Amino acid sequence: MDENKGSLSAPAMSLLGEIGKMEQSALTELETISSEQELEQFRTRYLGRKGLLTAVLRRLGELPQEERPVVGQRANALRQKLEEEITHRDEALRREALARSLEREQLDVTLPGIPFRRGTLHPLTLALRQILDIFVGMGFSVFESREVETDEMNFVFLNVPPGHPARDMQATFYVNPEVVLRTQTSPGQIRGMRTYEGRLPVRFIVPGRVYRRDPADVSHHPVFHQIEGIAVDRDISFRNLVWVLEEFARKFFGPDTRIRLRPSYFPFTEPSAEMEVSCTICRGKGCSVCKYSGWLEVAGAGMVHPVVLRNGGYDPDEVTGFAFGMGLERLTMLKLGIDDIRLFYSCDTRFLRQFA
Amino acid sequence: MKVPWKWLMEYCRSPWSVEETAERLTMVGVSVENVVHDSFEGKGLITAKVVSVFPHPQRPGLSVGYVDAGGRRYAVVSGAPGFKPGVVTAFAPPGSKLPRKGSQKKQGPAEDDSSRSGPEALEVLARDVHGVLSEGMVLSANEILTGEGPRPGEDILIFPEGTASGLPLDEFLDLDDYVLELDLTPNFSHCLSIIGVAVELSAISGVPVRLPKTLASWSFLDPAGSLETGDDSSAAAWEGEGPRIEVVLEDPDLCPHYVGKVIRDVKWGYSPIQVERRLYLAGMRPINALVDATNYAMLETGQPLHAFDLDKLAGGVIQVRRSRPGESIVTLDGVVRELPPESLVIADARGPVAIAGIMGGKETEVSETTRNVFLESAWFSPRSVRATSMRLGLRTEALIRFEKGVDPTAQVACVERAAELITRVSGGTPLPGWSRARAFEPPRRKTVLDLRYLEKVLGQSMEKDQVEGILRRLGFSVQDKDGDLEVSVPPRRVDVAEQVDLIEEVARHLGYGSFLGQPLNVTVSPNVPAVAVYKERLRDFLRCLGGSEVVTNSLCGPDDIAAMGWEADDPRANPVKLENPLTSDESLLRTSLLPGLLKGLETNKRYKAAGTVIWEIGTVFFPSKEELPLEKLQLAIAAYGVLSPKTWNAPPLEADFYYMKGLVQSLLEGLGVDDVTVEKRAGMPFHPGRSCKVLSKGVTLGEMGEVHPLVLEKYGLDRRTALAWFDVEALRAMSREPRYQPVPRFPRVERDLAVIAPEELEAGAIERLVRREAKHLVGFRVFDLWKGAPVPAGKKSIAFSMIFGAPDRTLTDDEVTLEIQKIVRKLEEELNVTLR
Ligand SMILES: [Zn+2]
Repeated sequence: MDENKGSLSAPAMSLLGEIGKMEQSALTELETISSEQELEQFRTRYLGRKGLLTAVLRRLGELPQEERPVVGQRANALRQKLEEEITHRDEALRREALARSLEREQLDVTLPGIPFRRGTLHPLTLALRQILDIFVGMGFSVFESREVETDEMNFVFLNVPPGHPARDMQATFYVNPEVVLRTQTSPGQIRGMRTYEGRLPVRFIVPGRVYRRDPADVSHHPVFHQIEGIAVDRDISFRNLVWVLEEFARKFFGPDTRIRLRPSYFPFTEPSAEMEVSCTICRGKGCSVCKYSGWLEVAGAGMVHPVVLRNGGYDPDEVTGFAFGMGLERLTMLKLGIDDIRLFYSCDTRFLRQFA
Repeated sequence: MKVPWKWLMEYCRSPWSVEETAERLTMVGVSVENVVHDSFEGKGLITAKVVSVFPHPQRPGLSVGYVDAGGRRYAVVSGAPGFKPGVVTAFAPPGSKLPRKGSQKKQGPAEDDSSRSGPEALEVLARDVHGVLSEGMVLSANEILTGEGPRPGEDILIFPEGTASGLPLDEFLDLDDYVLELDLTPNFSHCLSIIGVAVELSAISGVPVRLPKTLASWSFLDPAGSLETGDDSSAAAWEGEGPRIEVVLEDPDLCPHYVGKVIRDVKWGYSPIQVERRLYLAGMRPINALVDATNYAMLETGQPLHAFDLDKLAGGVIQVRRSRPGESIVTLDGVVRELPPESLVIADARGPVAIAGIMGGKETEVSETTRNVFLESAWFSPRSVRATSMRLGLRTEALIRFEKGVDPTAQVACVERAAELITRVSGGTPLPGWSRARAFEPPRRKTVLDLRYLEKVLGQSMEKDQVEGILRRLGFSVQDKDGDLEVSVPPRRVDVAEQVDLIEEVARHLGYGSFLGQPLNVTVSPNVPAVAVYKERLRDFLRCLGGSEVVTNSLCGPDDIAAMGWEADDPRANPVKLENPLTSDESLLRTSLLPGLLKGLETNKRYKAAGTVIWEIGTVFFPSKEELPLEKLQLAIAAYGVLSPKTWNAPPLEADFYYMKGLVQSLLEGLGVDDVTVEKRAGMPFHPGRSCKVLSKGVTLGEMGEVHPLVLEKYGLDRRTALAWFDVEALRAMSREPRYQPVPRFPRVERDLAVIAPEELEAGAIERLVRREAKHLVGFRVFDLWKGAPVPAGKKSIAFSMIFGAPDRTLTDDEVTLEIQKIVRKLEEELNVTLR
């Protein structure tokens, strides 16, 4: 193009000069543009149908045929350049506008959010779910039994005939001389066993409410919960019981938990044992919770008494079994460090909302 | 049962420390709850020799004397008859301390030692006694042990001649001791005696039991040996002077064996201080030497004994019989007691002189005037004495032993032991033989122990010798029988009846710690009942909806029922009643969860909570025609006050009807309960205009709404309160498990309508009509409600939005418009509702 310059006609030279000036002024003007609206006006002014560059192109016809491409190319180059510049400018303007708008939309992030109300489950529910998971994992079914029971179910079938001194161990609420509020989940052993109709193996737990005629204090409540467990088969032994209790203690209280069994008495098991776990508070060193013994009583257990097996529909010459029972409140208190059983029944949401 | 350590050591000397012994006893089932170091509380008390005595210058009856207390001399005033020159007695010099008064009555655990001594001990000071300065006190046993003055007729302590003066009393009298406080389970009645505990200790340690000679004839360690000693004739008595006592067993079912022993010419007095100290440590109060001897023998052997004043027994006869109607007795504690019918009593010719096995009578008790004693040693029916004790509300040390059953072969040996103890302190002559009646032969109890069964139950193989050894050390005798063991049970082990009892004996003395866990080796696929699963599903939904789960008492009171305002014939107003409630507030079984939840709201209000949402799933109870009441599972939700307070950017959320309805709707939707409708007005305790029944497919599931103002008033709730309750079984029956429904593939069309309706018309009527008439309707929602200008009076404006859609195509505008026109027409025709 340049080598042809010298041979161009005057009108062509003039047009080229105009194009050059136009380029300069357009680029200068473009830099001052600060809004999309101005940019659109700019585009119309130069590139629109009645724009300056278009006007130049129209004048191409005045030039000799052979000079038209040279000037035309020059004009088109400018058009292309301006279009690119406009696009760039447009993007820059959008970026700036977005930045300004983000700046404007700033919030005080320290103001509180919308109050979503988180619901909570009762700590006894949370603990019971965990306990059920542990036992179901060991193959125990779940059996729920009634709360108001016959004296026969609650005592007699469990080897506690009328006048038996063991009745003194549990203060009983009576509805009438034959009907009691169950003092233990153990009648569930009989009712549950009977649903198996002699099939083996029998293995289930009975969670539920029980009642004792004890005034409420930090460690007693007339209503509380127990979890009873029983396993019956042809060769269930005391050592199986030890295993189940150990598994439970480790899973519920933590893998370092140790257990200790010592002889005890329940009319419906023999041999009977009191199960203790190493103190969850002091880890066995001795503290006020464990009365400085390092051990905490958490469950009663033993081998199912032949009388109970018979009442459940099994022949004690054929099968053996173990059973255990524990207090849900006590387990939960030890696990969560709660020091007053009455809190469970208080409905006090300051207490309840701590255990989501 | 409290076991003084040194007393126990007399029968079996432990190779271990007190603490370790306690631990080992506990681990075989003799549960030692506390080890108390009962260190003697007095300080600086010493022996002293009386050097000279003069009459008190002012007061006849008092003397002034000098005592020599190991080199120092003190002038002392005393009125004791034993205060004579040459006597060595107990002395409290100025600055020494006596135990604080009444200190024998309570004992705390070992850790609390510090709180038990110190400021309350009584410091002895030099003081003026009617013009003479007494530098300290000479002491009776009672002052040394209790800090209280001498008892009637009690002299100062007089030590054997040649006792040095200036010896510290606690060492000289060996007063320092430990006490094992046992918390025995009901099957351990054989440890309600020091000897019983000694047998267990012997079985653990291998150290043999040493018994006093008098008891050597007692068969308790040798069940295969002779069951009885002495003269067997029931008519036997002594030949000699004085009254004869004939024993008549009128009710041998309740008392088959009664032994009486006469001791003549006893001297009344108090027991030696060491005996009294032991009784205190064992938790009994010393009375006098005669009574103390019977108590001492009981604590030692477990056989309760009673001492009558022989001369106060009328008619030379002891009848053991059931009480007769109208009979009463004044017992030792001075209380007149009506005898319950059928109580077993000991009677003389005049009437009851003791309640058998529980407490003796005042009239025939031994006293200062007693010269001849009739000692009773018997076996009473556990059930009978227990029943009598319960009726009388009277429990004694004797009863605690009789109600469990004492050794039926111990009566003769133990009465001899008590007689020996009496004569040692009180002198007198025991007459040979007994007044005795016997209507039974104690059975020899034998049980066969199948070793294979033992191994099956315990889960490990066992050497026969090991099993035999344990049983023998516990006093069982064992014989081989076809490879199994034939075991004779000592009569005192009333708790051992069958094979499993023997297995327990073996297991506990092997040590439970020796059984290693063994996994359950059969795989079982566990079953969780559908109701239990459903309850947890309910809980999960409710947790999502924002309330706190609570657990409330299943017992309630008449006030709770009354507060609900139920009609008298409402089943909820007729709860199951307890026969023996602790308090009236807990005398009924709840028929609804609502009272408990309202109380729960009130509790939180008291703690200044602005608003609370709580819920519970629990059992409610109703009387039934069956033997047992009906138990039903209920769910209830309660909301009170401002649930979320007004914030800088949102209005407050209140616990009103619509809050609860929203919660209930969400819950039912989550549970998959379909076709839910409501019917206005639930009964009490709901607000009649702001409550409804909730139904699904026409079946009532429960009720919800705001609470009646009268009920709110009873609970002091002063803000909006809403409740809901559901029958869980009804809910469960209507719930459906989630199932996949195709997601709509074609666009939906939403149209809004604003209409003017009569003010009393329920929005539900419009919805029902729309749902009935409109084809392809998939959603209906009221979004605006307006009363007042420009809407004319008696009318309201309702705006609702409808969503239309078809599963197989896009609906055309024309189709939808046709539906809308039909709806508008029907609304006008049927409900007098016009387009706005
Ligand atoms: Zn601890």
